[in-house]
Amino acid sequence: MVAQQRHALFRVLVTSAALILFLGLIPRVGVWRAQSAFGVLGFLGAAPLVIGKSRARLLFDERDRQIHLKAIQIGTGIFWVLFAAGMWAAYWHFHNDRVVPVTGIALLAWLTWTAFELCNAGAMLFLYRRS
Amino acid sequence: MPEPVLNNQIRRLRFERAEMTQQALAEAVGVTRQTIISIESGKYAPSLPLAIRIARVFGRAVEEVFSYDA
Repeated sequence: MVAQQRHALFRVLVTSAALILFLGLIPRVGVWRAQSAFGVLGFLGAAPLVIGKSRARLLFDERDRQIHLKAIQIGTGIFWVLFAAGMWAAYWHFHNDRVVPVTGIALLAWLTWTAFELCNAGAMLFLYRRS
Repeated sequence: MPEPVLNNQIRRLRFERAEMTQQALAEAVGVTRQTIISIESGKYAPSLPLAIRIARVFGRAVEEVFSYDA
């Protein structure tokens, strides 16, 4: 497994853990407090420990760069679709005669970031498997 | 209409050169071993500079190493 592939797998695992923890906390503490589960995403900063030292001198070549760019396109495309859907969902939920709570905006931000990470890293893993 | 295919003779040329390993070829042209594997199996089309570097390792022209069937 190349370094970028290991990094993508790590990102999928951490993001999935955050999402599962968030969904598991909702029935216990409610939607707004359950957002604290996204603090798990802080472990993404430990990525250099996951990539680690490699015996190979080369960590990132042209094929890795091509996969990285394709995965960015896929992840960004899905992010925009989900972001637009989230905006519409917020409008239909709150209508135009009520105030949108700040925590709702924060939740949208967390969910769209999580969606981007999952789609981008997942696309990367899929493209590596296909090649 | 069938999709064009990029074929290569890298595996055969490696064996002809004292059974050069994929790792040795990868280090010679500056890519990872996984990229060489993908190129040999036809799942990844190398860039032009990489294709030229690979051909130079074997002392052949690019057209002798890679062929494009449209």
